[in-house]
Amino acid sequence: MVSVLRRLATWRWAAVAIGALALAVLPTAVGAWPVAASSPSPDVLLARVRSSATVAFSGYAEANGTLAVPDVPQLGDLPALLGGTTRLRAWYAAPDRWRVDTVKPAGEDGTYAATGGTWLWEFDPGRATLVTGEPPVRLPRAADLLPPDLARRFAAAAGPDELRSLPPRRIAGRTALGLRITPRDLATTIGFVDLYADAATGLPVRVAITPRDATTPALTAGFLDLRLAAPDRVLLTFTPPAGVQVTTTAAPDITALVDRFAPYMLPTALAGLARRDVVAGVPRGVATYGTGFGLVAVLPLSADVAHGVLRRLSGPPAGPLKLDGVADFEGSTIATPLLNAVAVRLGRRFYLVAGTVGEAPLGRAVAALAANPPPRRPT
Amino acid sequence: MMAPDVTLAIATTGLSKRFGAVLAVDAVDLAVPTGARYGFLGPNGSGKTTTLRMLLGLVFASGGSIEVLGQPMPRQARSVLAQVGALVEGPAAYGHLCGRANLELMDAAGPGAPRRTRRARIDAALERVGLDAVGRRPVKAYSLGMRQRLGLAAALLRAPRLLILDEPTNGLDPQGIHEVRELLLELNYGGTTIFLSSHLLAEVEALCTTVGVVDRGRLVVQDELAALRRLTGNVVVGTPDAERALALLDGRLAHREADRIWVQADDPARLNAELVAAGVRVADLRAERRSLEDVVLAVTTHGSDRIAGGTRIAGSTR
Amino acid sequence: MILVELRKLIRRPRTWLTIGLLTALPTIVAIFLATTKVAPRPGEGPAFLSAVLANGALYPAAALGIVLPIFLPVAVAVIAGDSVAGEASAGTLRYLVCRPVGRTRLLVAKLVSVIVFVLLAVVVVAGVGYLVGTQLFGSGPLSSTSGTSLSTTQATLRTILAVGYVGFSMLGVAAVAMFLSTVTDSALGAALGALALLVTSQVLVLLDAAASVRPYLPTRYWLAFVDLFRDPVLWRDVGRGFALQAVYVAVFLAAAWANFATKDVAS
Repeated sequence: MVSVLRRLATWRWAAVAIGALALAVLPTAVGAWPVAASSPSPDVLLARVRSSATVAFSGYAEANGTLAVPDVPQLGDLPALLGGTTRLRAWYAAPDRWRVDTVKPAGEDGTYAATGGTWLWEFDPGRATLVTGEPPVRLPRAADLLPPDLARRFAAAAGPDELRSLPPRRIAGRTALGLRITPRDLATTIGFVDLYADAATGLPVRVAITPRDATTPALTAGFLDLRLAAPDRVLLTFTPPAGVQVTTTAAPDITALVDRFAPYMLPTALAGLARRDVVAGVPRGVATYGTGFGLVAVLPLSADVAHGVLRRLSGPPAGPLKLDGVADFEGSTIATPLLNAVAVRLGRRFYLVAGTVGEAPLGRAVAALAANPPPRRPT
Repeated sequence: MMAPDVTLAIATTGLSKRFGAVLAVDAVDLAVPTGARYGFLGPNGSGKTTTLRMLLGLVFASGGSIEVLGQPMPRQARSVLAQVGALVEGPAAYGHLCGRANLELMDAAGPGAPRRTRRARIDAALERVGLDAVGRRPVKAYSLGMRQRLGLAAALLRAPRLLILDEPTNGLDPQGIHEVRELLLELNYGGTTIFLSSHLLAEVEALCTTVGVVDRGRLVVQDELAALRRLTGNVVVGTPDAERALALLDGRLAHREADRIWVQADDPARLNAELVAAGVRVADLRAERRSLEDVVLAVTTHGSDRIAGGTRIAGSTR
Repeated sequence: MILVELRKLIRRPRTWLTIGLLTALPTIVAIFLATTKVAPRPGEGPAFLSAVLANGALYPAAALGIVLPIFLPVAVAVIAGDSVAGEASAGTLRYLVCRPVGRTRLLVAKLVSVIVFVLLAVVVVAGVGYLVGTQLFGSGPLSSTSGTSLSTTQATLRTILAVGYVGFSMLGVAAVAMFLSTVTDSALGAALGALALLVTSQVLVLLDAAASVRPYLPTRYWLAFVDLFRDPVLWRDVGRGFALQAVYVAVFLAAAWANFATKDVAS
């Protein structure tokens, strides 16, 4: 009788333990279930990713960054986007008709893109803003972290000799084909970009960016839920709720803004990096340089903005700037595995130089700006 | 020992319980005849309560088997315990409720308690234990004796075939003790088997028909009370003429205390005739029987807290 | 047996005292908000609290947000931790078991009574929240966090769902406390054990280094009740929260059963 009882107790505990273990392992097991899919060649997949902007979808994605960028107001959402988890809900019908909500613990911010302009909705202060026009240059926003947007940026820059296939995976319940882009550009901080696209449509569903000499990604963005169907039109239209203050503004044209206080004609090449933005007519005061992966952006700052930025960057995680062969300067540098930036005063001019290149190429670019100050645009 | 043809209300064979390294109950073979009033005696820490708990399915045995009312325990606990009333290690109740509400909850909790008769049964049980006039006072305002009575009432609710009671008179005044004894006798005459654990020899001696003594986890004595209290072979004689009696009974004298003499004699009547014939005045004369105390003391070792013998009343059992 | 446990629950003064305390906190917060009109800064403080000043109809949700992180789980842990251990230390457990009440049956009845307590608590908190909110702040049509306005039916439905979800979220804590309640005879010990798990979970949820275990933490999806007020509703975390709590209840109730069914009742 005793042993029966003891055995009964043992059986009960064993059953409970096995049940608990099964329940704990179940999600992992489902995720690890092997995926059978025949992969096309990497360049075919790349082409499908590039042309996937027409695929309508709705879904839920999370982006996770581990880059510590100092919280400078002039950088907008960038520090939060690169240094934390962003939860996104997206409804995408066409490149100019979509909605992305940034899900926050106690509210959300919505972006509704439509032909007439872009609605921005912030729940917590209860604010609706209609932004008209699309600026040529703007700071990154949460919607840029959606896997399709992010992936197509890298896909556009990748060359056929930088590609390699990855084994397929199951992402957001769908079979996804993998592609690794390893940039040949030695200046860039990007080691490789892993990109997964839906096997059926080519829609990118996951992106992971790993810095050079690193093994774990510094920035990942992936869908957790995905439905490939055109979202309901009702979901894409925003009507400001009653009693909410509505503002209408034109999109800030940073280029025009900069031109007002710093009408410099930035050169067509900087420290060996070619200028990327189309230079039609007179060269403008804001420029990007480099290849698809090793990018450098140069943004002149006004004196008061620059003083504010430099004051913010006077301590960690920012560090002091070192420049060889430049006489009159002061500046700070932000170094992360992926993104490096320099805020600097060169004589009486102020610049923010940032990019996905190593600290050395960035330093050379700043030194080039110091050695050959861009001429003022003739008025 | 028991006659083998008697039906048993409780029968255990080799019942043992081990708590870690301590063997609290060691191969106990209980045999409680149906209809008996069984007194379960033992010093504190002797395994009395543990045995009781095993009978009730509260504690699981480490060895041996238990049959209660002819069915194995704890396997048939549901059907067995529905016919058993119990009071284990003092009464317990929800303090914020009144006695009646407590009984209602307890009655509704288990099987075999039709809602239809609940009110009547509770009334009857409360009346039996003398709590029918308490009213709606919460139990936390009860005295110890009242709680004990409430516990008894709970045990009696469903007219059990077997009552298992642990120190049922604890906390009662002499009047209460008497009432409880009368109540138990009455129930027993009605056919209820009573299994009563106690450390009070007098209580067991006054009430029980069968006695089991447990010491350090072992059942050292188990027999009918009448058999245990057998004649010693001595006759106690009270006489004002002790000196003359001594002379007469030379060689048969066992012991003397002033006017009382203990005489070895098989037949008290013959001794009386002999004394009277010799002109010895006999004030009283009776055949001596062993007291339960003698029996118990003879078989138990000295525990940390010894059995209270005779009419002495020991403190709490816990 | 379930009815017996429910009667015990309802007739126990402590039940109502606890629920009274639970409703007192949001009421006090509401009174302060209404008199000072100082809303928490956007993005700070409990969910919806800054939006309440404009619309009192949101206050049931805000009240849930106020009691959700600490007060409600503490109350649940105390009640559930007391469920078996309390009976054991009062001595009534032995009488229940030899009544006889099947041990499994007793556990299920206890769980049901804890569930009823949780539901009672959240419903009363939300109900009082609605009364207090509409009285102090006035009410208007509810709008979702996405800025769309909700019909009265929608708003009511979502509030009810949120109340249900918050209640359900407590079941994991309740199951753990009940399991510990069968392990120890000390009701306080069981409650403290469950609270220790709760605090650990809440710390780990915020810790990026513990991201790998995050989906298993009982408090991981607690705040997902806010998702019920999005438009369209974000079901992802709500569904996961439900499933996770169900798993916790299943595992810990099974553990409680495995432990209690062969345990000596020695009190």
